[in-house]
Amino acid sequence: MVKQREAAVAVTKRLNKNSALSALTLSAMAIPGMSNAAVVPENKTLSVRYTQYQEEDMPQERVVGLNTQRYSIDVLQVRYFTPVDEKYSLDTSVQYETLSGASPYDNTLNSNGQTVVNLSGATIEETRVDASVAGTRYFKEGTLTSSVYASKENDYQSLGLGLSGSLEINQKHTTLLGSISTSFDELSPTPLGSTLAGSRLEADGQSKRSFSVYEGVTQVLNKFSTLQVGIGYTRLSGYLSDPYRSADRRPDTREQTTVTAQYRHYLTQMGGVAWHLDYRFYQDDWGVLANTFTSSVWKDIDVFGLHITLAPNVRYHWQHAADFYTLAPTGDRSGDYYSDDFRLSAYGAISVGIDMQYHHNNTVFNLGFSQYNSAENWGLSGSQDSETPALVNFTTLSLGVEYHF
Amino acid sequence: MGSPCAFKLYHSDQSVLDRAIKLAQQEVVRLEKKYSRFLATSELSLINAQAGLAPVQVDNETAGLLNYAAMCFELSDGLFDITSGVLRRIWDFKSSRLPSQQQLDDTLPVVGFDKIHWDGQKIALPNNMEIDLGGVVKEYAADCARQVLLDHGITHGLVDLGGDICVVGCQPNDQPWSMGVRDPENPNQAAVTIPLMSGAIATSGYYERFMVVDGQRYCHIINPKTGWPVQFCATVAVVSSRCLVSGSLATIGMLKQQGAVSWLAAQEATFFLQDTHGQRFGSLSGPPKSVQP
Repeated sequence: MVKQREAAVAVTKRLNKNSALSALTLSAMAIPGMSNAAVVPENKTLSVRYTQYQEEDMPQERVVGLNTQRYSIDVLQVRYFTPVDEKYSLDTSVQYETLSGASPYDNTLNSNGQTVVNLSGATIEETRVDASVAGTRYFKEGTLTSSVYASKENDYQSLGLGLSGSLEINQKHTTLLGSISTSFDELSPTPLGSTLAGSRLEADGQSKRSFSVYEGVTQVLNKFSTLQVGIGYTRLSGYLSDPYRSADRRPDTREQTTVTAQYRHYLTQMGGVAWHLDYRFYQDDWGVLANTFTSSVWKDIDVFGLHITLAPNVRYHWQHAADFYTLAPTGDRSGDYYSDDFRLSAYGAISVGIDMQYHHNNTVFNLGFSQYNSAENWGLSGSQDSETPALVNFTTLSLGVEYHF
Repeated sequence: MGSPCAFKLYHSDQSVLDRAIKLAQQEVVRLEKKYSRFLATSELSLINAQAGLAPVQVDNETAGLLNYAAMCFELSDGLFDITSGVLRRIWDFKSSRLPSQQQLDDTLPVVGFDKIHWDGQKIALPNNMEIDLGGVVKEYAADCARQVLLDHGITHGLVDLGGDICVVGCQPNDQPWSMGVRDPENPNQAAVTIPLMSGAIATSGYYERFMVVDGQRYCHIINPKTGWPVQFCATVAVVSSRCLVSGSLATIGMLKQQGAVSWLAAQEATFFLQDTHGQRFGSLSGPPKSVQP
C-alpha cells in the first residue's frame, strides 16, 4: 500500500500568494465552520482610558464644619489584548487610581433637629494600583477563561482568582455561561490620631474573603434579538464593617443573590438601531433588596462625513435599606449591628449618560459622560424611618483610545 | 440540500460512527435551514425581505460567507455574483422558451454584487435585489460536515453532497478514493477518474439543468453581465483543500468560457475541463494519478 502511495504522483504546488486559489482558500478558512477552533479574535488591541469621577459637594447646611468636598477619583487604565497561537488569547490590564477628598464618617443632629454629616476632616490623598491577567482558550463550541487579579492601596490589598466558561449548544442559538471566582482581601487602615483610631486599630490586619458563582444562558430569540438571563450568588465573610466610620458594626458574613436579564434587540427602522435593556434584581441577607433597570440605544450616524456611534443611556435603581441601617445619634445605638452608610439606606437613583465612539481606520476613540443623582424619595418602596443625608450625586467623564493591529 | 447527500464513513466503534453521522447530518440541516431561499424563515430570506428597507446585521458565519462571496466577485471580475439568482425568474429551463430582450433589460439592473452595501457586518440590498448563497452553501456545508466528522474521531471517509465531495480521510485500507467526474455527453459514465487521498472535489457542468432551443443548448449557469447562459465549457472539476474553494473555482471556470483554461491555469488550480467539442484540458485530464491538493 505504501508502495502504491509512493507510486502515485502527488500534485503538490506551492501556493502563489496572488492566485485566486490561495486568496479563496484564505477567505474560506476565515468562515467559522471551516476550522475546528471557535472564532479567535484576530487582532491585538491596545487601549488607554482615562476616567474622572467627581462627587458633588455636600450642601453646607447638612455638614458639620466647613469642608463640603467629597471624593474625586482619577483612573488611568491601560489594556493589552493579544491572540496567542490559534486557540488562545491573553488579556492584561493595569489600572492606576488617585483618590482625593473626604467621606462621611458620622452624623449628628444640628440645633434645628436636622441630621448633619461629619465629613472626614483631613482630605485623603490615596493611590491604588491594580493589575489583572486573563487567559482564554477557544474551542469549537466554547471558551474557557482563567484570570488572576491583584490590587494594592496603602490601607487595603486584594487578590482575586476566577474561572469562567461558555458553551454553545442548540446549533449555536444557545450559549451556556458559568463562572466562579474568589478573592482574599486584607485591611490595614491608617491609625490616624483621630476619633476613628479605635475602629481603625480594630480593623488593622483583618481580612475579608469572597466566593462567587454565576450561571447564565444566552438565547438567540430570532434574527433580531437575544436574551441573556443569569443567576449569581456571592458569599462575603470576614471583616465587613467600614473602619472609616465612627459607629459601624456589620455582620461578618453577607450572602448576596442576583438575578439578571439582558435583552438585545436590533431594530431595522431608522437605518438600524440596537436597543439594550438590562434588569438586575439583588437581595442579600442584610435586608437590602434592589432593582436596577438600564436601557441604552446604539445608533450609527454620519456627521460631516465622520462615522460616529452614539449610545445614550439611562439607569434607574432603587433599594430597600439594610435591617440595621440607622442614623440614631451616638450613644443611642441599639441592636447588635448598626451602620449609617448611605449605601445601605433606602433610596432611588437615576443616571443619564451618553457614550460616543468614532472609528478611524484601526483606531476607535471613545468619549463618555454620565450624571448620577440619588434621593430618598425616588425609591418606589421600602423607605425607612431615618433619613439619608449623605446620599451622593456624581458625574463620570471618560476618554479612551483603542488601537487594533 | 435538494440533491442526494451521502456519507461514507469507517470506524471500528459503531457508537462513535453513529454520533458522528448524527452531528454531521445536523450540521448540514442547520446550514440548509439557515441559507435556504425556499424557507421564509431562513436568515437568507430575512436578508432578502429587507431589500430596499434597512440594513441587516449578520452573524459571524454569514459575514464569513458574504466576505467569501465578495472575494469571488472580485477575483472573477464580476462573473461570480450571488445577486444573479433573479435571472432564474426569466430563464425557465422547463419551458423551452428563451426570455425576451425586454425581460433581460428589465432584470439586469437588479443584478450586481457591487450594487449592494456590505460593510463586513451589515448588509443592505437595494429594492428588488436579492442574494442567493446556493452557489456556496452546499460546498461550505460539505466542508463543515467534514470538520464535524474529524472533530468526532472519524479518520476514514468522505462526504458527498450532490457531487461536491470532501475527503475526511483515505479509505480504511490506505487507498485513495476514486472520484469519477461525470462525462458531460454521457452523464452515466465517468469522463475521468481521479484518485483522491484528501481535500475536496467539486464539479460544475452544462448537463445539470438546461434546455435546447433551436438546436442550441442553454445551461443554468448564467453570465450576470449579459443575462445569457454561458457556452464553451461542458464541465469543470476542481480539486483543492476545501470543497467551497473547489466549487467556486469550477463555477468561475464555467463563467469564464473561452478564457477558462488560461484563467484556471493562472490560478494554479488543479482542474479538469472538457469543452463542448469534447476537448479536454487541465492537469487532471491525463491518466489517473493520485492527487493531493
